[in-house]
Amino acid sequence: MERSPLYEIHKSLGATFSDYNGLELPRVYSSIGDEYRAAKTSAVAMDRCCVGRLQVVGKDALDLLHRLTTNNLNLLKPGEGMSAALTSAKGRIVEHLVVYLGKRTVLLLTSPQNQEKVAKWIDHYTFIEDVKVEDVTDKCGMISLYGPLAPKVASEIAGQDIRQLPLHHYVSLGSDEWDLCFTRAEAIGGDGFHIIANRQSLQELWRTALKVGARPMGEAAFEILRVEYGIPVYGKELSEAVNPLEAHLNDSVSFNKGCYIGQEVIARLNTYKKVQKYLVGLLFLLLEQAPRPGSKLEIDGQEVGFLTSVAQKPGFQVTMALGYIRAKYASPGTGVCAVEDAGKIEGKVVAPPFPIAAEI
Amino acid sequence: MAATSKEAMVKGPIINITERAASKIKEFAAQEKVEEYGLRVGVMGGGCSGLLYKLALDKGPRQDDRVVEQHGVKIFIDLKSAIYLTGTTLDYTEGLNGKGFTFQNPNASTTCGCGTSFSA
Repeated sequence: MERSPLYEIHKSLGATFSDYNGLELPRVYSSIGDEYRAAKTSAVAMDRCCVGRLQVVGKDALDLLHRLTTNNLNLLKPGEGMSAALTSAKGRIVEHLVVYLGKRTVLLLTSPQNQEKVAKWIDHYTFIEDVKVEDVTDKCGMISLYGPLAPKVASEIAGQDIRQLPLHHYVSLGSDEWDLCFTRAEAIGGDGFHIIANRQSLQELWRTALKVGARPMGEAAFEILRVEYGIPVYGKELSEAVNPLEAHLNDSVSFNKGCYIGQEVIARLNTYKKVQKYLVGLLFLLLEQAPRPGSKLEIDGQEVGFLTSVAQKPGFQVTMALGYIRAKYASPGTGVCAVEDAGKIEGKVVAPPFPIAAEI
Repeated sequence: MAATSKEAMVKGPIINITERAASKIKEFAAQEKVEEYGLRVGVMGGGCSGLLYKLALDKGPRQDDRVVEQHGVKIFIDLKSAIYLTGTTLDYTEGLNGKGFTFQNPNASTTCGCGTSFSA
């Protein structure tokens, strides 16, 4: 099993580890509930070295990526980034990326362990273009800061005020392009920042993050927050069975950029309102048996969808879940049942992020 | 016409070009006032269906290019594109739906609505 460059620090902090897609990552440091609450009220630091990182070089890099992805990458200027999906000709999600434009190269963030698949996909569509993809996942690392105080913590580590940085924009403070970057990330628990840095400086950055007030958070608390904030991940909510509109990735799709792979299908789904199912949040009563990912969803005995992720919200007698449900049942408040071996568990559709005072 | 080495020439044509298409290419070359040229035919990633055709006048073949000569026009095809173009006929048509070069590609399993891209 692969280990993070921060493994020894995590161990010294008392972390217990679990296998996440072949990577040994901290599951929890002290208490899942405490880590969860810290992310909601202050700031947490998380080892995200597992996120795939690809550096794309060559004069045609941005042009090729623009042709292959759903978003309008031609709008990017150095220092900016945007989310975008790679889709198949059928409009299904091959991967959901964050694309950062540098002065000389492009950096892609992929799902954990998915960087090789993405590199092969790009290579497949590279003909005579001047484009080269390099997997830099092991050369650099990533620390994520989440919570309402994440911008303050990020600013203190960076040594400059970056609290107003727009989503996916970054500041580069290293000697090389991706040597030390601070970028605004999707908000989880209130806000979010990523620090992308060379492998050698990760331990120092981690120690500084903790010194200026961040609490370490493991994968267990992160998974609860991810479900609560409705953040889809590849392998659970995202796959080649799903299109970006079903997964609510509209912010990653440009409807006026022109052709890209899968554009015709996605444009037709959008224009004629033909999206068949939607990703929704669901709340269930907390019973002896919790619903499980993969369980069917029923309304009046009819199968209407399935669950993709399930999490217990600390301190609340409910189970939160994400799942796909037929479009006509996707409105918040719709009553559903999760079908389990022990019986049916009643629940309802909600719109993430889940309300604090959740009630069935 | 660009000089090409015999080694770069292939025995069987990867693609066929109609007389009409060849004539149009010569016309374009004359308009552009280029004397030494060939037609670069290639494939690139993109378009709704994944692969787009690319046509351009080029001074000469690059290393590993496949070279075809028909109706007085040399055609340069990069090795990777050749995989997707073998057996293709390049034509030039004018009709009610407009005018332009068209590809009859037996490797194309689907073509997008506007006809500019294909998957194979």
